[in-house]
Amino acid sequence: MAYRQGLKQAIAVVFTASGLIAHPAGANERVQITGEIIDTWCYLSGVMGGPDAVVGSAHHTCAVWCAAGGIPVGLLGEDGKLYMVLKLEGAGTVAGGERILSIQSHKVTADGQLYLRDGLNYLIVDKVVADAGITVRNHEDFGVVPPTSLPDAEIERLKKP
Amino acid sequence: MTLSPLRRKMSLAVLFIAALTMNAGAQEPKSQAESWGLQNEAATVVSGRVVDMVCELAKDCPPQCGAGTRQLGILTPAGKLVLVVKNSQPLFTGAVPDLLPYCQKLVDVDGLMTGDDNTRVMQVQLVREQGATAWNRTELWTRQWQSRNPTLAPMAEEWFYHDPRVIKEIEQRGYLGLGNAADREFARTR
Repeated sequence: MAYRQGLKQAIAVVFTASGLIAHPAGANERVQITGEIIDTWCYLSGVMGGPDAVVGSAHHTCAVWCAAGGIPVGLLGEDGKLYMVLKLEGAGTVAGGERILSIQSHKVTADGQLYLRDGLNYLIVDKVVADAGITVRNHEDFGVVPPTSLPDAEIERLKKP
Repeated sequence: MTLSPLRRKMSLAVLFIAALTMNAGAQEPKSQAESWGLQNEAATVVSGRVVDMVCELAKDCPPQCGAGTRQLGILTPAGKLVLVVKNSQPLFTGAVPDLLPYCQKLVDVDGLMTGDDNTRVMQVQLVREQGATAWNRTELWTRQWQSRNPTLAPMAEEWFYHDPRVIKEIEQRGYLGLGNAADREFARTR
């Protein structure tokens, strides 16, 4: 009996190690998530600095650039989880849509379908039910991130009366 | 049937070695990806099918993987779904134009996995259809932008300063997203 149990464990090791057991497809759940719409690349890769610097007003222009560039946007929930937004109010989230640019860095409440798959949270947003605008005003702490997102020539133009 | 403790240990050892051998047989080619110094960066080759992420998760499947409107990923033979977020250009650009020609085809992609412990995503630097020897660098985004904006084509390397959608957004809500008055106040502190 003990031998059979050991054999079962060993077979489980074989299949797990060889990657032959497929992960189950994600099941969906209707949710309402409140959080900030962010640029997932800068947030996850650390390429522009720590997580506090790549949200809010400091990173707003860069977030618009990345959304326009077709990089997936995310909803950084108040629960601390990151939700990858795959659809927004009926449209895909790759470039083109001005709606997705207009809510970058905003605190929103999104109603939609949540899918969990291989450790990631995916959100298909049926409707943005609340939009509080930008609530993280961190440009006084970090400036603009990256600094080139507000060019020197534009700073000089903005200084003029 | 009973086995001596020694034979039992040997049987388990044989099975474990078999597991390692099977896994080694499934290993991907060595990555050629260039380091970007990303958080928890791991150079990785992933082999699998190019899929529309929404189709894969929600069974909402327009033709041609959404024809450029949908985020794309790689579905491995083991059923793992890898979200691709970035191409090889250091220009705030995604990889959909590079993967879309391979919609539903089997490919190898070479790049960097990054993210935190819970959320891992991929920057794809190279892609090829399975069976091909030559890799294609993922740099189609700016070419597509030039096609959409022919009069701006020479500015493709700095497209983000010249993109009409971005300019409109900044005109409406400012660089900080808080309105033009906030931009002017911030500029005075620089």
